[in-house]
Amino acid sequence: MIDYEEELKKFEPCLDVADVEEVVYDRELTDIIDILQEMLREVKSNRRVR
Amino acid sequence: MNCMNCGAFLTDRDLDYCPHCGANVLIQKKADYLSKLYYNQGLEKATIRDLSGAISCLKQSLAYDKRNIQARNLLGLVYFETGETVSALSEWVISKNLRRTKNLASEYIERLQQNQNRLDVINESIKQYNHALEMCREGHEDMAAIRLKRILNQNPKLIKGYHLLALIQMKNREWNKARRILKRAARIDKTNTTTLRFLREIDEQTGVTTRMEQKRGGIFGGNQEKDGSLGGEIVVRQAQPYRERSRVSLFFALAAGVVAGAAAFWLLVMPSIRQDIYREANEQIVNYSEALSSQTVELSKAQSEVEEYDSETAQISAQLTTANQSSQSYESLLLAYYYYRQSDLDSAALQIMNVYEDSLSDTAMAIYNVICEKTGVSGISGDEAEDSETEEEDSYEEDSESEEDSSYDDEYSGW
Repeated sequence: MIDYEEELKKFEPCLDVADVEEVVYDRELTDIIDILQEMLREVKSNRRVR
Repeated sequence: MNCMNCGAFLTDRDLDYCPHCGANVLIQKKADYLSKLYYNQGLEKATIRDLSGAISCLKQSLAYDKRNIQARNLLGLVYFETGETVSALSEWVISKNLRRTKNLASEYIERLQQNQNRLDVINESIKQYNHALEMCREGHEDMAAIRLKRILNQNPKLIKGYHLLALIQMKNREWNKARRILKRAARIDKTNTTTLRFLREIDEQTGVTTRMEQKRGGIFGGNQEKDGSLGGEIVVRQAQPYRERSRVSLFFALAAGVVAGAAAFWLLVMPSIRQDIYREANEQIVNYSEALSSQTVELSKAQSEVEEYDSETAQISAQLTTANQSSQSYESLLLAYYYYRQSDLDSAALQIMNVYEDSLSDTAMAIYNVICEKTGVSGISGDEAEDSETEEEDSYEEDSESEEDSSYDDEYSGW
């Protein structure tokens, strides 16, 4: 049985078209390649420290 | 694809290391492959309007490779189709920034910006949706439902709007209405989890299973399942058995036929009948007007004839008057001459006064002049005659009779 109040809480307000810029800036654009690059950078820096 | 270590372009796809820096690029190649794989899956799902599935796959594709422009553009398109305009625009903007040229996202953004009215309507519908959601939270579900119906007319792709409206209707136990609304949402996105969850709830409450429509166009407008296959399985469709129509439906069909016939008669035959009536009426009016004009001509002709007769009568009466004057003048001149010969100058003078000078001939004029000289009296000249003409016309006969009587009396007394 669906609870109306509980379901209503799941609904989020839609973003305005004027908020596109903000959404773009806040977007997390990290992909696997970025993570791999970060990992490589860390490995290289560790080697230099040793 | 460029090497993630040094950024050099990897020309040979078979090599697992970068020819420039020697770094292992196997994982990068795997990630690229998976990104493309998920993009293909997302494209397939979008084609059959499994938009939620498509969004999931395309997000996965971008997680493996954020520079997969095709996947990002398609994700924006799918977002736009589900009414998530802001998400769509943000994907396209990011895509445009990642690749400036030869990018479909630029065209999408440009097309949306060109149609400013459409963008305004979308923006307004989003604001209205937020307001409706707020009203729901405040407990004004009726007002929210009315507003949501209006929003969905303006922006029929806003899936969230369908869900909220269906939720309100489910709360009010309007199961069939909610089912219809959710079916409309399912036409846009077949596998939306909220839509399916609400529909299952409705099915449980009503005991009736919702029948989803089979033939639906994909996001690109194509029709799926044309060949009867669904998900790779061959579905054998049995021919529908022939069923006799019920009497009620037959009656309705008959009534519809009668109504259609009446409408056709009204639309096709009535105008020609009406035109015939108008034409006959016009012909009658023309005939009447022609008869009236001919009668008017005849009347004017008769009036002119009457005028001619009147003028002729006036001429004849004038001639008659002149003849009477002439005869009276000669008679008076004779009597005057008679009295003059009898040396009765008084009587001669009285008689000569009745003579009209203009009506006498030259010979009679000579006699008249002699008598006038002797008596010292003259007759009636032309000017006097004209002045007294009108007066004499009325009393002409009486005067002449009285003069005749008196002259005759004088004559007889003279004799």
